[in-house]
Amino acid sequence: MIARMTDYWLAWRMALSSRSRADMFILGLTAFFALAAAFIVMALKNDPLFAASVALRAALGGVLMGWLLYFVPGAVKLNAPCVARLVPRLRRRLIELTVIAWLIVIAFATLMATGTKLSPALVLLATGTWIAAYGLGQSGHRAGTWMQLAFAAVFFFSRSIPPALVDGIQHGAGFAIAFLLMLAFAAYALQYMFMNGGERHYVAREAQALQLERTSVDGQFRERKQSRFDASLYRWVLARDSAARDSGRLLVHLLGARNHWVNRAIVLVSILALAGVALLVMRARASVETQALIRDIGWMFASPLLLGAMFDTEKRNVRLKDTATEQALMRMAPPLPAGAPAFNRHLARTLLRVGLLEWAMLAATVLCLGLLSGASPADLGMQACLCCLTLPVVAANLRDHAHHAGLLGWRLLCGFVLSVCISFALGAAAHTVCGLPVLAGAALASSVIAAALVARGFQRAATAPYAFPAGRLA
Amino acid sequence: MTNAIIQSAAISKQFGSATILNQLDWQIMPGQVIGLLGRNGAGKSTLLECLLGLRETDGGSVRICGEDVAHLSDATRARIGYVPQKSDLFEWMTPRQMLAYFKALYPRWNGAKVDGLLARWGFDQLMQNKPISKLSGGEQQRLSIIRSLAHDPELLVLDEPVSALDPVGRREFLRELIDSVIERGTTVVFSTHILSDLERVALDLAFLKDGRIALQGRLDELLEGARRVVGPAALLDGKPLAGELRRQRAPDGTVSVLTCGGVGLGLPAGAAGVRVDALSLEDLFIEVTQ
Repeated sequence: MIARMTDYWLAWRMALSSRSRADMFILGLTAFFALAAAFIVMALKNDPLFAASVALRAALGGVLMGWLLYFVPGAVKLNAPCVARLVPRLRRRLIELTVIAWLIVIAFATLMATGTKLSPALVLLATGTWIAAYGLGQSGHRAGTWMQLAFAAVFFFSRSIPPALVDGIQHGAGFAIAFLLMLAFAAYALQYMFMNGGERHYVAREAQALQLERTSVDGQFRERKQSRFDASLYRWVLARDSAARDSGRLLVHLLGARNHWVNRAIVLVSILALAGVALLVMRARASVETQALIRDIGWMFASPLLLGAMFDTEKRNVRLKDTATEQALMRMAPPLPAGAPAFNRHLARTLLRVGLLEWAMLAATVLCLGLLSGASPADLGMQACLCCLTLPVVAANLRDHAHHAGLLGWRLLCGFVLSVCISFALGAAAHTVCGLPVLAGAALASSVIAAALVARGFQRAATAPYAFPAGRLA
Repeated sequence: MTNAIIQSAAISKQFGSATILNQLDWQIMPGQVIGLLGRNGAGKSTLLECLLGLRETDGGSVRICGEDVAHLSDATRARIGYVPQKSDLFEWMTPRQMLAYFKALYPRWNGAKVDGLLARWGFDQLMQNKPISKLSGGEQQRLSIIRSLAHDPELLVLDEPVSALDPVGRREFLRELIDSVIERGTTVVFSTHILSDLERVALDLAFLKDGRIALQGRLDELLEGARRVVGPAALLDGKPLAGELRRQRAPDGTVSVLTCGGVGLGLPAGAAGVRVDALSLEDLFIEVTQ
């Protein structure tokens, strides 16, 4: 028994070892705050029993989150084909640990649901199936991801499910069948998560690596696989740019296929098509109140898309760090300008052009969605102003790449917030002085800030060392 | 003023507190084929990167074809071929796409040579249209070599070009290097750990140790002239030998002296108990870089 417990401890530690200490710290802190918040809130209600019950739920939530986010991916990653076949007992112990944790979580969830408005039977079935779907998804199986999406859909449209069906699976034969189906699905997920070597395992491993190793050791996002359509379009653009022999256009390909602007265009067109059709359908068929709601505030829901400008900027920064060796070859290539100042300015121009193009595509998508939601010209004007507020972000690619490469992270976020604050302050001042609407003034200020940052970026490019290979002086 | 294709003077490079290159002087003449040897972490890659201007030196200067390496003209850059140590480059492209991409970047491109190399090195149509990330390490390295040879460079710098190749791949690469690169008078600098390959190709060897070129010379002369003299301390102590490079005292009291290229060793007449051994390249590598 002691040997078995030692094995479990070892397997647990090994599965968690792939996570960084920072992850563990964040998880611990989250659990602590959840617990503390539950106690404080419930203590205020002066019902210690209820407070303890909520604290227990919060703790269970924390443990479940930790198990799902840390142990499951770590265990799947650990079970490499060679490990599964050659390391004694490890695969078996990983399976046992997973099953034990799964049973404990669904048992607790069911117990917690007892005595509440929730049906314990439904909670049992939902928790068991959802966790199995999560495990399957983490193993790179598409069915797992789709199942999780289906769960979200069922949750949102739960009122539309016929009550007879809901009632049927809670009792008697209906519950027994649903329970057996859940067990069968969980068993399938388990054997997919922990394969026992062989050809199938090697094939699955590729999908697992894509799912589990999205970030490199230093936390940078890895280049993901392209869809067939994206790849064929990129192939066409690359062939066209190679034929044109334009060094600026060729330089853009250094960012990789996934980060080329053409890829971003595909994503935005897809969003526009899907959301546009949904908006048109809703405007045609929804009740009068809903239609009015869509017309009045629908445009606001498109605005979060503008945050994409920040992600795009960061992706470019990351790619510039990841392709340092490719950059060495590019730097030796004759058509790129010789000498650090000329080269850096050329790179800055290229990055600025790409950044502005992608920002313009994002802004156009957001405005089109606003237009499709039936927003008034005044609302569309406000939306255009919001677009301008994100413009300074584009300048974040104009850096001294030799010294500073990779993610800007919090610095970009703080810079963006600061720029927005300054813009609103200037907008308010302009409103007081000349009656210009605050948002329009802020948009104008943001555009000026962006121009100033770009000018500073170009100035820095002239004095900085050769940008390529990026990060070599960091 | 020399006509060296690469001329470096007193170059220094530090990473943190570690000195990688220490006032290193090195000249490479046109048509020379030099094998750069050194232990792991000796700074071979750093030296090659500094010579190409890919890394800034902390001191000293590097000139390629008489031009400052920081401001190489287009014409000079078009004359340089480089194979970096890392071979999984442009992995989002296919070999075909990557070669077309570089063709667009270079004014001169030997398409026939590329096609010939692709065919000879086993890149069929299927493989040419496969993403580079899906190729094996050896295939990626071959592709990297093809790319570097495609514009017929006059200076070829190879950073461990054969480390991922199997013996067949290595032999094919060396044949290519001898037949169509060295025969054309191309200057070649390459670092490697595979000494048997060096013996087949390199005419000159340079050993990098403690941030300097510790020993450089023609391969045959080095092998002919390199000797290990082992004898009692009483006989060898205080008597410098001709061409002496290094001296070591063993725990048993004997002294081992590495000499290279000295005419006669200058040993005392009839020195009894003194052994003189000829050295293989591997022995020489160990002795010089230890």
